[in-house]
Amino acid sequence: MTESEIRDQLNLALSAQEPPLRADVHAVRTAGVRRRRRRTTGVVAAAVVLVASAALAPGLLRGDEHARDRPPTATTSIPSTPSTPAELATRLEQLAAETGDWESVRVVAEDAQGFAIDGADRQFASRWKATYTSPDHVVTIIVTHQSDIPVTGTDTSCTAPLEFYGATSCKVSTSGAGVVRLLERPSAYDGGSWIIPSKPPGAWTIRQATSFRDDVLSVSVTEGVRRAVDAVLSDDTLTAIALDPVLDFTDRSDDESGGPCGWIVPEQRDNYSCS
Amino acid sequence: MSTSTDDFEAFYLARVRPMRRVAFVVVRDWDAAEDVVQQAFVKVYVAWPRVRRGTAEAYLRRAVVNTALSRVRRTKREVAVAEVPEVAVDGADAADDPLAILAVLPPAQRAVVALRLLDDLSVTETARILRISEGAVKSQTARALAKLRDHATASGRDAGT
Repeated sequence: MTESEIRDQLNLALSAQEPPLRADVHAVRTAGVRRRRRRTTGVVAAAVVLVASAALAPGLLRGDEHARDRPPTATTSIPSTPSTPAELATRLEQLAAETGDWESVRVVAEDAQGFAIDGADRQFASRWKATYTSPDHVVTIIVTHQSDIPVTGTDTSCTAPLEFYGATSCKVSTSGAGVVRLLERPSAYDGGSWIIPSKPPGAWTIRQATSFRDDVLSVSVTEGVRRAVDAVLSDDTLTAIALDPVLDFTDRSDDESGGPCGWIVPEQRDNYSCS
Repeated sequence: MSTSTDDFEAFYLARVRPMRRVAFVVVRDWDAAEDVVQQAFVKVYVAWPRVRRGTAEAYLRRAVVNTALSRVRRTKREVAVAEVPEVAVDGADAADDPLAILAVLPPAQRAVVALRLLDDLSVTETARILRISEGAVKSQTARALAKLRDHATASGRDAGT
């Protein structure tokens, strides 16, 4: 049986069994409008942000060889399943413990104003921040809600946005504070129900990260973090990597490339000028 | 350049049926496929102001395939089987259902089959949509075709006895 025969057989069978369409474009529009509205009002969405500290940048600019020494890197795989805040904190701590070489590790839950919160109130944290410190590096992983992600790009001016299939990256100016961010917004949470039904209320989600590099197309978040740090240390640049292939899809010829957009949360892109 | 709402409607009408077929091959259930496609089009609609005409197709395909694969992962721990069960749902014989042969493929291979055979995408395009290497697309396609051929041959033998 040839490939085309298999194709024909599949098409015939599909045609024979295909039921009438129930879907209609108005339902799509209505759901889409609702979803847009939810996003613009800043309803919660899960996100993962990696910030490689400002301490990295000056050394890179000076070509300081010590700055190129790789920091302790993580090899732990964070499962791509939803996790509760407590599980997330445990994972962030485990991640540090298993790398072994960090001088200090600090995992804190913060409220929307950045104040640390503890105990049962951590359920209501706006973000979690894990800071790993070594003699030469400070790497901070921030897990946050979408509404808390800094989107204006003021502290990460994107001097040379590069578009590639399915994700957006840009070289970030390392003058002054340098920041590397990994971002993911896999789902939205709206007053008790998840738009993606598999995500239970109160869950945080860590999903697969996708690097801009061809050789790291599919890695766990942890691996993505490691690669991003490696990229920082080897390229003299800080690299912002947007995740979620569906939501972050941007065409190579996008009008916005070349603009001083800085870090962009795609859903927020319409809310400020990139030109 | 953004496209208009009318353009979206035209795009929807042109693509909804082929995309439902693609989704069906992955999820193997027409109702689920319809949900998948609906969700994918909602994603496209949300992104429509910034999706360009040339990229809307790829955006949609990726949304459909990702949503379909997520749904398969979510709804059940699906295990590829060497043989199609003899009795299908609703009591129909598997032999009466040519699409039952899809059960011999794991979801990822079904996604490759859907894009390569139904949607007529090239190896390169399929690799981009699925975010895997072209080599992986080729090998997955070859494996899927081999399984489908084996199954068709076995079915033919059984029918002849």
